[in-house]
Parts: sequence; C-alpha cells; structure tokens
Amino acid sequence: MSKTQPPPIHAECVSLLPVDLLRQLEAFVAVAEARSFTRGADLCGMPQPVVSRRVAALERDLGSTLLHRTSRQVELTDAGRTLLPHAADLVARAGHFRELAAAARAAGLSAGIPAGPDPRALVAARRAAAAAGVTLTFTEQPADERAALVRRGRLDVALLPCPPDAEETGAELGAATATGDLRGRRLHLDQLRRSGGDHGRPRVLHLSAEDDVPWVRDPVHRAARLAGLLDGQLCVGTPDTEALTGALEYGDAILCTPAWAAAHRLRWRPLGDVAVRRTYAVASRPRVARELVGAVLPALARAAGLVTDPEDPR
Amino acid sequence: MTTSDAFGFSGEAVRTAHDIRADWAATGLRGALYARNIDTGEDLGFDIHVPYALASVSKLPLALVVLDLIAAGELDPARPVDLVPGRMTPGPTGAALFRHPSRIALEDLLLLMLSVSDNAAADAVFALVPPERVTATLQGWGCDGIVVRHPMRRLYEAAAAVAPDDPVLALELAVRATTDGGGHVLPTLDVAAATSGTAAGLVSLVARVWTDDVSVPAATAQLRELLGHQVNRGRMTSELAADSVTVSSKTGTFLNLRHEAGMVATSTGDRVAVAALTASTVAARSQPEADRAIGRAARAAVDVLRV
Repeated sequence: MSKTQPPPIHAECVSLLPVDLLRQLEAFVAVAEARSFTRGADLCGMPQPVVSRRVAALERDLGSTLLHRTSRQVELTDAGRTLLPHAADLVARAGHFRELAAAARAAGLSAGIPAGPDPRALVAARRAAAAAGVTLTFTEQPADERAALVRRGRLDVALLPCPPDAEETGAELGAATATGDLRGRRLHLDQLRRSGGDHGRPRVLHLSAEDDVPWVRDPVHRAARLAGLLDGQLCVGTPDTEALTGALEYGDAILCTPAWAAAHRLRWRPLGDVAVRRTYAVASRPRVARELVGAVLPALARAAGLVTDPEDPR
Repeated sequence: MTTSDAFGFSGEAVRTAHDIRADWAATGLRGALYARNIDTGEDLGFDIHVPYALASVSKLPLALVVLDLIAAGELDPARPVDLVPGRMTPGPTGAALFRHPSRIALEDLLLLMLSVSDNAAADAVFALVPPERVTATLQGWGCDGIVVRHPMRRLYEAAAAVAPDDPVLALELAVRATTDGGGHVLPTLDVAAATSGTAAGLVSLVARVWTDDVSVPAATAQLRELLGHQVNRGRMTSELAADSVTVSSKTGTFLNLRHEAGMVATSTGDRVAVAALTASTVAARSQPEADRAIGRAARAAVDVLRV
C-alpha cells in the first residue's frame, strides 16, 4: 500500500480489518516471543505458512519490516521491538474480551417449554442455540405455569399458547395412530365411529393439555359432533402415557404434531374434517433483548416438537 | 373364485378391495364392488364388469329417463296416475300396500319408488315409459353396463311361479339354482333375461348424474335430490351417514340379492360413487350381518378414496 494513496475505505474493508489485524497481531506476537516461525505457529495452533503469511501481511499494511528472518533465528527489528508490547497488549485484551463473551454465553437463557419433549429434539435444539451463540436450559412446565414463571422472572423465555393470528411459531396438528386399521390419507373423525353391531369400547381422540385451548379444542369438538362421535370419544388433557397406551391397546388416535408422532414411532396423518394448529408466541422477561429471543426462536420450536428434524443429533 | 381382479389406485386401495371381498365371503356374500372418487378418478373394486340382476336398483335409471322426458316436456310431472289394488303390482312398501284406489301424480310416483322402493309406483311409471325405452335411452347416452328388461311385477311372478305360496322355497332356489355363466333357473335372476347391471355401469351412471354429464341438468338435479330421500338406511347409510357425510342411493333387494348404488358426499367436498352388488349364499330373508357387511365395504372404500 503506497503512502500517497491511502486505501479506499468502504464497508467491507472496515468490517474485515479489525479481525484481520487481530489475527496478524497474534501471529506476530507468537513468532516474536518464540523467536521462531515454527514454534510461533505451534503456539498459535496454526500451520506455519499461515503464520508467515499473516506476519507478512501485517508488515505490508504497516509499511515497515518487523522481523529479520535469518537462517534459523528470528530477530526483531527496531520497529518490531517498539510495537511488540502494544501488540501483546492488544492480543491480551482481545483474549480477555473473548473469555468474557464466552462466560456471558455460558450463563445462557432458561426457557420454558411444554411437558414431555423428545430428548433428541432437545439435543438438536441446544446445538442450534449454541450455533447462534446462546446456551439454552430447558424447563418443562404446563402452559399456565410457564406464563407465571416468565412473568415473575424465574424463566428468561417461554413458549406460551396464543391464537393462530398471533402465532410466532407453531405446527399443524394431526392424528397419530399406532395400529393399521384406520384407512386413508387423512384421518376423518367419522372413522373413529363404531361400526354397526360393534359394541366394544369406542376409539377415542386424545387431546393433550397443551391443546386445551379454545382455538384447538372447540373446532375439534364441533367436527367430532358432526362426524357422529359420542362426547366421550373426545378426551381433553390426557397425559401422554395414557394416550399412547390407548393408541396401542385400543387403536385410539392422538392429536399431535408430526414431530411428536415421529418421536413416538406413530403414524401421523392430517385431520380430514378440520385444520388446527398448535400455535405459540414467545414471552420473555423484560431484560432479555428481543434480538436474542428471535435468535433462539428456532431452537425453542425444535425443543417444543414443532419442527420435524431431518438431521439425527447423534 | 379368483382374487386377481381386485384392484385399486394404491397399495392400500388394493388391500382394501381384498379385505372387503374376504369380509363378504365370511358373511356369506359373493358380489361385485366398485367405488370411485369422481373428482380425482381414484378407484377400487373387484368383479366390476360382472352383471347382476338389479332388482329395485333399476328404479334409478327409470327415474332418470322419466325426469329427462319431463324436462323435455314430453311427460307432465302432474299427470295423474290411478293405482287400484288388485290390478297394481304388489310389494312390501308404499302404495303397493294400499287397500283403496288412489290417484298420484307422476312426479310423486318417482318419489315413492325412490324413497321407499314402491313397486306399484315403479310399475305405474313403467306403464308410461316401458323398459325397452329406458334401455334405449341409456344406450343413446352411452351408459353401458345397464339393461332394463322388465317391470318389477315380473320378479314376483317368477318367484311365485316356481314356488307358489312358499317364499322360503323360492329363496332356497335362488340361493342354489345358479347355473354357470350367470344363468339361473329363475329367469328374473338370469342376467341374460333379467334387468341387469354391472358395478362399473352403475358407478359411471351415478358419477354422470352428479357431474351433469348425462340427460339435462334439470333432470339430474332432481334425481340427486330424490335419491337423498331413501328411507332404507340399513346398508350404506347406517355405516356412513353423519352430519358431515350424506348418502344418496338406491337399494335393491330380491330373494338372495342385496344391492346398493349411489353417491357418498362429505362436508369437505369429497364425492365417492359406490356400487355394491351382492348375492347371498345363505337362505334367509333377513340378514342384518349381510347388510352391515355392505355398509362396512362402502365405509372402507370411502375412507381410502376421500382426499
């Protein structure tokens, strides 16, 4: 870079410069302290050619030579000797800054999610959050508990049920079945109706407590009546284990998301009669930045079983 | 009986066709089934081109032809028709049981013959539009697989001729006297001499009635409405109907024959035309299990074919 013509300063340059400079300084300090490119590279944990290139780039940027390269030894030039303490200071400060950032991340966010999550989904969710630079801790609670805890500041963020028009994240609800005796591409509620002459226990459609909200429960209830089901064939607030037992023993159907059905190895089909979604908004403690909430939203959706995860976390 | 001609648009549909045939066999029924979603064209069935004596299902094509003539102005829907006990065709329902002379308008005779399967009403209509004309009109419309050859009266005359005053004997004969190639010692059960039809032919006719692809829209619309008034709910309707599912169909029952053909429509817009033609191998007049097996078959087919 010539002195008469300063480098053009445009956005890309400005944003790249500090990181480049820091890396170059780290390389320079390591080589200078070790008095060797090879040992300096070891100190940085970098290949030696990379370290050489970075020092050379730094010298080019500054317009002065910092190191004398002799056959085996490396000696500091006058300029190098003057600049080394400042470079070392900058590198140390950057290191300290990084440690602080890591500590802040490690403290993380506590997130309230619906009960009964799939452990694999939680692992995938935690990894997704870590990739976004946040450590997430999950707490399983019923919806009203989550709302109370986040209001009192005991949780940083929580997924709270909301009407479909306020949805921030959600998933289509369908019917999961364990037995192969219900036919068709969708599950129509009239399929749960007993056949003539069948006096056995009628099949039940189970709704979890999470779906005990007017925008899910009421349309399903109306559709069930239109399909000629008995009122007892719709069971709201069934615990997961009981619903799964019913599905395996009696051929019951469970209203759930595709991800939940996959986690429990059930066949999932959309409902034929009515379209319903499990919909959530994210509530957060006042001091949690909205950008941070946005960054962890995909991870929360995954943890809550709203996303069918193609990638196996293992 | 081979099972190789059972078919369906998907693996599940083929399995369902086989399951239905096995269920029917276990109930003492042999027969033909065809079901088609008239909007997607997806279908399933077996023996769909095997003709069966249609019995009262023939009132469905008769009604369509008469409604077509009414729409064309050739027949007056208000035309009075006299039904006189002793001269009219007997039967188990409706005006056929009347003890006193009555006068009923042509259009109301159609309602009686489709809602309660009234034989006296049907034959009074056949007197105005003979079977040959019904068949010729159907052929003119390109409706293959349905041949109307005689009024309802002939069914009872034939049964009474071979077994006078002994309905159980007639039933035994019907069950046992089947000859090869669909022949039968009772001419009205012999598909070469009787009013006969195939499941494919009936489904095609029903589908065309629902898509206004036959006759004129005024006639098909009224037929669709009339078929919704059927009171015999023992077969398809008892299994399928709910506030969200309607069944518009015509049954046919004679000796060991139990049929039903019609349209199953759901509140979500699916329209599945179904024809079930069966002959029982059990010599009993009332067979609730057989009726329910037909209902189960229609329900299973609709479950697979609805979108």
